Amino acid sequence: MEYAYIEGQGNLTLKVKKMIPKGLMAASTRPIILSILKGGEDYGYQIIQRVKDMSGGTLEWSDGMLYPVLQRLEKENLITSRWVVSEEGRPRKYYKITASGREALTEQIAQWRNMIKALNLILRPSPEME
Amino acid sequence: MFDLKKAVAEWKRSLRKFESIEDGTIVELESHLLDEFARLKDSGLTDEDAFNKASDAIGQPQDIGEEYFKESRRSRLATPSWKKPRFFPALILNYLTVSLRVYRRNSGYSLINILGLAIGMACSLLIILWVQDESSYDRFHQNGRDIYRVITLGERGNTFSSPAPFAPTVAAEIPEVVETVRIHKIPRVTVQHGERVFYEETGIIADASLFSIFSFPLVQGDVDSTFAAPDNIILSSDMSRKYFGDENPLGKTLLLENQIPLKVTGVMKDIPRRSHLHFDYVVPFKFAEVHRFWGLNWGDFNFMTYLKAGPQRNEAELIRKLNQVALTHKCPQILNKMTTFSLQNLHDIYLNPIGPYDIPLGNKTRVYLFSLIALFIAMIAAFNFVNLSTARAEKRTKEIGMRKVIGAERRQIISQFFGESLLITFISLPIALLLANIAMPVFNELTGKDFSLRIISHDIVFAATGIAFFVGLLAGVFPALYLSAIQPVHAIRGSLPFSMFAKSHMAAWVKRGTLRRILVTSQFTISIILILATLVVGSQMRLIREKSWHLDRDLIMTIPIKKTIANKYELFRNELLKNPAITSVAAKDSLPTTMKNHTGEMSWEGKTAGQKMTLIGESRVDTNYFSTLGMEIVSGRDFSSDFPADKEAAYILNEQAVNLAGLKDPVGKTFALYGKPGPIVGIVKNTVFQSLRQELQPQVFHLFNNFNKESIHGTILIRLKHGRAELPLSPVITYIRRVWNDININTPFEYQFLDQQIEAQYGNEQRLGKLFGTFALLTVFISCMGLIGLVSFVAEQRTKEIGIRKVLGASVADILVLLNMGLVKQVALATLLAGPLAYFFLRKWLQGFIYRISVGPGLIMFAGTLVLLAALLTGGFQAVRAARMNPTKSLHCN
Repeated sequence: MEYAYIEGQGNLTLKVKKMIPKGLMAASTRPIILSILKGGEDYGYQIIQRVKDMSGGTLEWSDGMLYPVLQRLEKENLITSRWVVSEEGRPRKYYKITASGREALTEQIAQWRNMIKALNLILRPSPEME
Repeated sequence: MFDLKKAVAEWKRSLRKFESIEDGTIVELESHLLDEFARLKDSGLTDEDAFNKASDAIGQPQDIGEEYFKESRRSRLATPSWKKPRFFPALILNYLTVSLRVYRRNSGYSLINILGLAIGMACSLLIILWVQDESSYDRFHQNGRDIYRVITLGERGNTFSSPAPFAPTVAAEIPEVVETVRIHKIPRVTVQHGERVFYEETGIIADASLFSIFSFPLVQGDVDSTFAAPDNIILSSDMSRKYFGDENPLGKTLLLENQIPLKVTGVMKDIPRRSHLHFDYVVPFKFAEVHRFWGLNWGDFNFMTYLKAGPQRNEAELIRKLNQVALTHKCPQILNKMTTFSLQNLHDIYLNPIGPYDIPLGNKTRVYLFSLIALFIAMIAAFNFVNLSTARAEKRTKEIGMRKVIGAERRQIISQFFGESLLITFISLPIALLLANIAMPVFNELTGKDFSLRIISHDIVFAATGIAFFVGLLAGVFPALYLSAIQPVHAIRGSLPFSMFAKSHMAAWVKRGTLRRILVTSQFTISIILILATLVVGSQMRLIREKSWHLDRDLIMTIPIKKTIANKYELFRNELLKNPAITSVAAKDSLPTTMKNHTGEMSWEGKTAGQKMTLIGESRVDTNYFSTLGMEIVSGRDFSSDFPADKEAAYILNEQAVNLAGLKDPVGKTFALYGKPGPIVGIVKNTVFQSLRQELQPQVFHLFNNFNKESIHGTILIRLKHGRAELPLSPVITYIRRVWNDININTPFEYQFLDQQIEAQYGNEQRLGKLFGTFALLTVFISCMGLIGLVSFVAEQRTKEIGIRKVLGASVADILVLLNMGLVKQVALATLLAGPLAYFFLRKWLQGFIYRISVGPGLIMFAGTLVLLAALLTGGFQAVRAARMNPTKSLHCN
């Protein structure tokens, strides 16, 4: 598999398969994290595992790059965090979506829907889709 | 054995290097790493592999650090500390504010700095323009690098001429030579078209290849048809306008010297100023073959030869072949080894004239000299900056201390102060450009160039920026290193104990004022050297004026003799003598300041083999010559029409000739010139005819034998009752002009006075003197400006000391001595340094002259005193102010 390092607009460097354009990848980071957290409180490692699961392996992040984005989201008050000591005795930082985080997510999902609608109009006759 | 704990600790340490990754984040990342490690280990990997894979998945610590840095930074310009700083540091705005604030609070010092730098840079800029101009001659020729001028090197001196057959033979016989051209300068001739008659000074005879070797494009006509016939001529656009106005000149006829008609077959573009070759018209070489004015044999060195060489040449080999060709064709001067041929590249010609009569006037030494002066002036201005800013350093120690406490590294402080000095030079730059522009007309007059700053060219912008950077860095290096060495503890406490400088020798230097003294002394030294140069060049010029032609030079008018006058000379002379304002009229067969020929074909009674005289200057004159010029006959008699035999063969020698020939009681002895023996009838006092750069020349005079033939290219000398400076002159000139017009047709009346012609020989030297004077004045001025700042600063620092001294009974005079003693010492030291240095350089220059002034200690002392006076006047003024201050006031503060 071929990989390329790209710099994302959302201050996130992702390790992506070449076929996923970097702008798209970067723009989608925040809604993906927010929607995972909408499903419940979680910590960094798990969030990454879920991203991997959800994308069936097509989205592969450089793990360390998730944390600065989480910090940013927290600064913007879209998520909150707390430290919990795990059963193995390891400290874990759990993140939880806030009310404004939910609002932001709804808004972003709406934006994405519009985008997808528009894109579908263009993409329908593409032979690659068949 | 892989140790997980150790590996994790190591990994955490690598994260900690990046301070944007906070401790909490590290804990979070560690927990992530261990989760991933556990998962991978479950899937069956070894500890080591699992750890490596897990840490790889997290990514490079630096990338993570940078991401976190982006989240936390305040300004988009910020860069993490582990990265190389940007060209513009993050604090640039702060630096700028602080510098501008410092300048504003100390407007006096800033003014001195800015003005000094501006004047210094303006001078340097002008000089650089000049140097660049001087060293870019002949660069407009496309094949410049391949073009050479043939020169000859010989015991009797080097020349730039070669025989006429040389060029075509060389072109035919040496394969590396692509093309050759012969050029002969036509002496001043009259050229006429209808009513318009002018003297033309700059015409040449040349081969057609002139236009293919050099880049002198034609705008009208063509080369081939011109060079097909001997009586065609190509004009410069300028000359064409002069004779034909806006008419089409092609096919029209010009009359040369009233007798030779030439058809205009081409017009060329005017030759650029920066060309060593300048000519207004070209006549085909065939002209020389038809008219035979000049010898065209292998023994007649009457032409300049230029050649274009092919790309695969070896210069030394080419020179060897040139001499070989001359040898096989039996060129006599080469056969008897009097001289050898050599080559000079086109680009080197202008700055390396061959012998005193070469066309180009450039001078390599002068280019070096002035580059050095430009450097000096820029340095003096930069030194002012260094002195003032290090002197004032203590006022800024708190700022530096604060910066360091907050976390500034030394290199940041250094770059701040470099930035400050660059800022001040770039503030000065537009002022410098303005000053240069204002000074431009004066500078052009001094240098004889036609520069203009109004046309902003790349060169000027490049030169100006270059100077500003150079001066800025030079001025910034000491303040930057010195101020950045200050330690914050001392700086903030406000005291600068001497011990803190113990670490750095340089800082100690600055602290004790050693650096300041060195810089001020070197400013004085440079000033004294330049003043000395001005004085020496000036008095040497005065000496030359006194020594050469210590005759009534301003009384003697000279008119060139042309064919049209030669046969009417007697008539002209008699008419002139009717005017009581004209004392006498004489004729000579050469220019007033030179002899006609220099020949070795002579002998005399009692000539021995080891005689010193090998060449003698020879000229024909008429019987009135010596009396008209007022040259004293020291023994024997003048030529006279009372002795008809004088006209056949009789000689008058000058004292130098008698001396070199070793003649005793020369009058009455026989002398033979060109194999024609005659008695020596008189001895004339030595007169310096030519440039004082040359050895006093042995001379022999004889009378015209066939005036009409021999006087062409000669001179009529008219002695007037009143000098040209005196009032009644103009009616005389009107009278002479009228007589001239009555008897001569078609030759313009042109005259000069002897003193003008003599001055013209030294035009370059005089220019040099004036330039030295100007620059000397400026260096003294800039140094003194710095002194004002420095002395007033030192006085300010010592206010309390002065106050206490005054309270204890010191007089104003005592205080003045105290404050100025240092200056006196520095000037004294500077004089001691400058004396030998200036002596060394000036002696070289003076050695070029036969009569020269001596550079004694008196002159050096005088220059030193001048500088001391200037220093005391400017520095002293500030000192007086400090000394007269009321001690109650100065002791009151704090």
